[in-house]
Amino acid sequence: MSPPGAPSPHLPEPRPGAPDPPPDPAVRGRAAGAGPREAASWSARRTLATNLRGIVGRAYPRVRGSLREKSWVFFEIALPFLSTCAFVLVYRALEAPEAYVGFAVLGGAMTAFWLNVLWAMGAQLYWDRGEGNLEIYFTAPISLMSILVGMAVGGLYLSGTRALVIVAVGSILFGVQYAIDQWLLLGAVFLLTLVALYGLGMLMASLFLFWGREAWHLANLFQEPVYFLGGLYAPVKVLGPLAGLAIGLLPLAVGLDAIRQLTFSQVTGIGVLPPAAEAAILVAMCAVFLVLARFALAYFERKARAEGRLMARWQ
Amino acid sequence: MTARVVDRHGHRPGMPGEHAPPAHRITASWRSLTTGARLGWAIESNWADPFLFAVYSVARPVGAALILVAIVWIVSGGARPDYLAFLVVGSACWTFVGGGMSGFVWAVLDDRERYRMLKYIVVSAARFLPFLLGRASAQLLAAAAGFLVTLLVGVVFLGVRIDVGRVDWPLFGASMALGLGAVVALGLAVAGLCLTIRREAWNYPEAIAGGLYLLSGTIFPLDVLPAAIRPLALVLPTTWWLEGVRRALLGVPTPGVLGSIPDAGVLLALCATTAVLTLGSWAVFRVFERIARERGLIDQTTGS
Repeated sequence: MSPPGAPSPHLPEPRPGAPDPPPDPAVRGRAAGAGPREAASWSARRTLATNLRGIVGRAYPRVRGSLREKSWVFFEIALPFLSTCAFVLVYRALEAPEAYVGFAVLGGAMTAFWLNVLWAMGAQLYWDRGEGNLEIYFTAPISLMSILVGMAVGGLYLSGTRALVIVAVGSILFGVQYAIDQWLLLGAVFLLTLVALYGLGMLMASLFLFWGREAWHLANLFQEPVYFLGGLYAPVKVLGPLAGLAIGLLPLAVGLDAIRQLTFSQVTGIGVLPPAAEAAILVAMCAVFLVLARFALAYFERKARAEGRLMARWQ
Repeated sequence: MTARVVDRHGHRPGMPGEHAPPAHRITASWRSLTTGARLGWAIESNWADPFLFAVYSVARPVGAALILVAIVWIVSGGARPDYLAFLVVGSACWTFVGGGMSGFVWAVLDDRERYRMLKYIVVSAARFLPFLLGRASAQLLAAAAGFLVTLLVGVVFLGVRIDVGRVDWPLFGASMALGLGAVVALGLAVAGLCLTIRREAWNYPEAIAGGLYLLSGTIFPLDVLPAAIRPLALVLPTTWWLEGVRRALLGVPTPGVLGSIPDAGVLLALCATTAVLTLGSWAVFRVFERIARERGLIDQTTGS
């Protein structure tokens, strides 16, 4: 057996003065003659660039595929919209003020984000394991966080377009009147809500990966109860003491509460806290969920490796 | 072009056991039904301990009912107990629709794509239709728990008045039997359709249930619907099922369009619409099953 670094016995000796042969694709990117240890030590710039490529690579199929499967487009818009219509009609049956119809429309739009976080973030690594993608992620020279960020970016685009359609159609169909005074704060609260929501999704991804087969059932479990606690179709204030818990735990609850106050400023007394205070809670949630997601991912990855769960399908 | 499968005498081969004596067919059907039910229940329930499974089974329907309760509270401040009772009964019954339909669809998709057992069931001596009924029944059983707990939450925590002594049990029994029959028939038709399409079909039950939820007056009286859509609501068995159960449990008809119809009329409408739906669904299932067999779709995998 040849010693490492020795020329292959099957290749002809290079002639003196001949140009260098093209680099072998297998060792492209590392210095000629460098060992695996040197090859694995990347500069910060190169690590960042590769992770950014990973983010773009994972977001790409979601953005590109957002219109490819027509039945998905239909279901992703129609299902939340049907629920929205049902709740709007309940408000009409109860002869509620017209602003409440707007509450239901906004809630319906936010369900698109929650469903995306639940199924396309939380349960995604579990699906990926079943499909055989997870092992590719682990062998790729990028952080798994980049994969999750890519999923979140793609998911945001995907559900953002769906939510926009729901708000537009719902507002026109039901004649919703918005009264917005603080556009900047509204924009900030909306973005913070999405970051916190997808941070929670990243945390759930690692938990669901560890829980395995229960992931499916847990995702199912977190639908209607979260719609209720998150105040999707009725302001969270109505929950009384439970509202505090919801505001402290669910980005959906605190974000939607602030968004409702800011988009229906003509209706008073519907919020649990002033919008600025809720924005501050969202900032804290963003930090906490993203940091927790980072640690949970590392912890569960280590544990799953030790228990041999990473490649085990349907477990 | 699709080649039609025929035997050497020019006859289309039938289902396994199709030409067996009736007694044998009944025995085989019963055996397939019970085996499917046992298998379905094992798959549905063996992922968690019984407590967690019970929590899971009831959390969704109770959560859905509580959203509506919150809406009533914020609008009326608790001054509409009649509407609250209407909502609780409607939401409780609706657990069967989602569970019933998705049970059928998941039975087809899981057995075809995930466990890859559907082809073996189809070529075995088991009778496919009874097997599928049994396999999907596990979700109906879980839905029954959701139904009971939602009613219990309504009575104990929300003050819904259901007096067990005054419940019209014959009307309740007949409405539930016919209504569940309609749900099963609907699930069967969707399952047949799923035999011929890709795994994205898992969305179908939710979409169909969502449409029916809106049209059947589950959470609001039919009078709130636009007038053009109302006739559509009246030909759905789910509308009459909910009305029958509400009358049986609450003792009062829903005000509005349905209010003037006597109990017997409600039952008759429920019988007629369920019969039409059942026959139609059976035919739809058979047609799609035949298509799936002829095109070789029984063992298709459209995912991993």
